[in-house]
Amino acid sequence: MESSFDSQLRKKLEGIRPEEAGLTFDGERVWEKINSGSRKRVLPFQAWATHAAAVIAGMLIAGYFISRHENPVTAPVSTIAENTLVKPETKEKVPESKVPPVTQPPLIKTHLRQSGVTSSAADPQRGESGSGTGTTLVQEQLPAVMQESVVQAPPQKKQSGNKVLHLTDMNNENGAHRYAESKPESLLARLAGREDAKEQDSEMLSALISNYVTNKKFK
Amino acid sequence: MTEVQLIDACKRKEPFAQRLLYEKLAEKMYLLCMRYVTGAHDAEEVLSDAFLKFFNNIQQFTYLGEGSVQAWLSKIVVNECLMFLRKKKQLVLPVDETASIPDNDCVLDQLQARDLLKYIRELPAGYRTVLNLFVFEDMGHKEIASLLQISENTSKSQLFKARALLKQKIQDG
Repeated sequence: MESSFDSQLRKKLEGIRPEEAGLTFDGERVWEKINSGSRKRVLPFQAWATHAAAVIAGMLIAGYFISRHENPVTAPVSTIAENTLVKPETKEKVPESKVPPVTQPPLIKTHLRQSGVTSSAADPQRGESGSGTGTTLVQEQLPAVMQESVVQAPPQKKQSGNKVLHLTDMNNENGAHRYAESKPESLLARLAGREDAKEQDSEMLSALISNYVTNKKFK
Repeated sequence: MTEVQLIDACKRKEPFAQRLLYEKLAEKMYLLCMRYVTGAHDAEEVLSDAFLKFFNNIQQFTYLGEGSVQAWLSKIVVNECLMFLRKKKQLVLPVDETASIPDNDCVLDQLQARDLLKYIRELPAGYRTVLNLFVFEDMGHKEIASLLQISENTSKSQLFKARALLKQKIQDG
């Protein structure tokens, strides 16, 4: 219940100005606070929006580069894996009589170049690294029969060091020197029972005889 | 520019209209703040927060006639003052008051407004708040009780003691 005292209070303070109440009101300062407060409320959203846009752009760029980087690697590996016909494990379990004869080389042959196979065979470290086109990986997975059908590198003849002395080299000192060097090696090879060495020795004997005859004629 | 046009311009977030409305109501709202919050700096802080809320939520305001804007803004300012007092833990309402305060009749005719405001601001926060809400905001005890989360009897006793203490201050003058 409102008393007369309350109504007097209200009337006394109704419609007065701050100066009349002994107060100093700085309206400009409060207005600046309002303006700065309204700016602060806008800034967090702008900052959030810019950060979100930057993160999304970064993810898109990263995704583009990752997909671009992965595509050339995954494609050949998947095709080779599909083309492998016999797994190495199955070779041990299945008897040879049940294995169908290999009439033509598998599709893998198109991926294996002869130079690549020989180079990988010559350099075992290259095959172990697994980097490159993936041909070494396929070679390891193939059974022995298939590898033979694919790898057909010509056997390189090992140079024995025996050299034939031709008639044209008679006046050449280097030719005689070469013959002198090769003779003990051929003798050692003969002792070891190598057939190719025997053939070379017979050639050398015939050459020595012919040289001897010609020398006699010239003398 | 009429009040309706001013409100519409504020709803369109036009700065000049916001400034005009602020200049029209700022002093009254500052005095209102000074009745609840004693410090001048605190009153300015509360006032700026209240105006910010007012401008941000003015889309929800429906114009009902002359003075409806001031009434709506007054509610926002009072709420901000109460929030400030709660945050500062100044809004403590003593339930048991041992010392009885005599309620004498008092005449305010010869009292100046600045003295009266000074005495009101010297009251304890609990007394001052209930007195302000009941006398100046025309709230009932039920509404005050729900707003301050106290019982109606507490609100009544706080008002009684606030009146008595204020009269005593005026008489001691």
